[in-house]
Amino acid sequence: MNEPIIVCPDEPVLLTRMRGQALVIRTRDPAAIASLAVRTNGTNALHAVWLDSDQPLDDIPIESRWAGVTLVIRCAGIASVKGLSPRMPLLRRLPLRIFIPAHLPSAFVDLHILSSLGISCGLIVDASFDRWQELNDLMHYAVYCKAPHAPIEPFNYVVTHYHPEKMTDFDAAYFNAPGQYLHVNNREEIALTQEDLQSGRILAKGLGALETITASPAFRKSQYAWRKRFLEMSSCASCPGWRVCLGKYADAVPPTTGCSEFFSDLLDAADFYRRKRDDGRMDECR
Amino acid sequence: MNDPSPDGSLTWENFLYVIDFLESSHERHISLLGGEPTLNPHFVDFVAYLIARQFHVSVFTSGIMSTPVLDDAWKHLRDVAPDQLSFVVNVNQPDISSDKETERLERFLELFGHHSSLGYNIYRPDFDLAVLFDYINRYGTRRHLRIGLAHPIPGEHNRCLASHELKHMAQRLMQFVPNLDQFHITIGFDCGMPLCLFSDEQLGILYRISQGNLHFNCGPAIDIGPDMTVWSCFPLSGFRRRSLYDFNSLQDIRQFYERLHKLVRQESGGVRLECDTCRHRESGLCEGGCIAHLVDRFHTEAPVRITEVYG
Repeated sequence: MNEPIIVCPDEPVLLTRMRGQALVIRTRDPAAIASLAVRTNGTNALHAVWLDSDQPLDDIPIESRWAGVTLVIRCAGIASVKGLSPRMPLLRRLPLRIFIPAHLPSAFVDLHILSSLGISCGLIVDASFDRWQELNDLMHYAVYCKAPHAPIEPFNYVVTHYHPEKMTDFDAAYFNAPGQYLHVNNREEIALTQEDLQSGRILAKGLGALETITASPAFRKSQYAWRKRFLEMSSCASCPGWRVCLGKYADAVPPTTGCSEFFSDLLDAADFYRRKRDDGRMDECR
Repeated sequence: MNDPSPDGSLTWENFLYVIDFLESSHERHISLLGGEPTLNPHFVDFVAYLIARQFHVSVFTSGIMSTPVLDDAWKHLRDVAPDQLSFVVNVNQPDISSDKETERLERFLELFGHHSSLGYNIYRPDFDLAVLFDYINRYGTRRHLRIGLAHPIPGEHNRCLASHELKHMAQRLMQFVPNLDQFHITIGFDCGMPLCLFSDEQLGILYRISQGNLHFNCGPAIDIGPDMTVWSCFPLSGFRRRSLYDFNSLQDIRQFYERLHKLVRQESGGVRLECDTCRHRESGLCEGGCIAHLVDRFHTEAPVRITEVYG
């Protein structure tokens, strides 16, 4: 197994202690982004910077100095196209991806707009998600539309990583895949996902544990947590969309409906994409 | 059908579908029409989006808009190149416009004159183009006039020229040639103008003042509504509407309506009886005026024609 990439906050002391690690650094300060590349240059492989913002994209100052940083911006929608227009060439040029939380009423339209304008983007879906029809419409656009457009996550991750005989965990698109990423906070607590970190589901404490954590029983147990669905014979165990959903919505409160149909359609889309790729007809999938 | 917004205007969802549909059809030009397109609450955002997507946009407008909308448009669209964004401003006769409307139109032309050309829809034979010449000279709009004819909408009683008034209209139009020459203004005809309204000498003059861009055709323009229905063109907005979702491309829609046009023309050649045997129609020089006249006429006859030609 490759060494996991560490997702951590922009905390100088912590960063100093993680020399040599591949990092995804989370920050709420746009002004810190350009300096992160400088500060980690020669000490860490900077995999990406994740900017968390409560503001719409329209209000976030975008800088050309970010050109050397792979950037993910989680923001409160785009607000207006007319406001973004003057910065559109810069947005297209930067290696960035805009993530928008699904609870925003405009999330789906905003993502369609960004994608169609050539800006990579993605939807952040939480456990209480229930807008399956809109998600399905957006997925159809992302995979089947012949007009050129940029990738939309998590659909892009699924269709590009899908293997018909394996499971595909799209959480990796959000740096949440156990094995590929580990999350660390200022207190040097280590968890599998950002959500685990915030809700106190801690695997280990202390950066020294990073070297051995993937061999720990707790880590191995988390890797096979999906088996629980089959042992319990939950409805996920017989769902056709299992291989790309992995039971992510099984514990939704209130219980969600519509996920099965959506993930079945996503599986079809992944198959469609794979066939086109294998046949060398990718011009039919923009 | 997809619902428009509660006020009947085009939603972002439907708008995006339409633009993807056009791009998939390799169409890079779009005209925004109405009603009045600037009344859409997303108007400026829609245009900014189209520009960012590198579409060429023509907005057909009365130019009469509220101050906040005009200011917003000016703030966000003034730097767009005129070859990417143009306004076709349909000007009314001053005698049917209120002072406030005229004031707003003039404010629009003051700001967007360089992005605009003027259009005039002739709906009565005694029209006057003087105000258009004045606006062109005052506001620096393109020195070109789009001349359209108001055509009947089958089944409705809209204000338009009857076929027997067309000749008079044409003679009136020719009276403005000295002004067009004097101010170096070219003209272009919208579809549905019959060639035989003009003498050979007049056609020669028109050829010159249209810079050789003289057409007497009538074909599907393809309009798409906020509810995602499509139809052939404004006068035929109630004729054989279909859902946009029934088609895979703009070419499919064109073929569908071209076939319908052909069927109608097989039933009746044009706006005048002589059109049936006209050599100019046979040679393709003229299509016999606007097809809406024919469809409108079919509604007043006994229903003896093939069913497709009835709306």
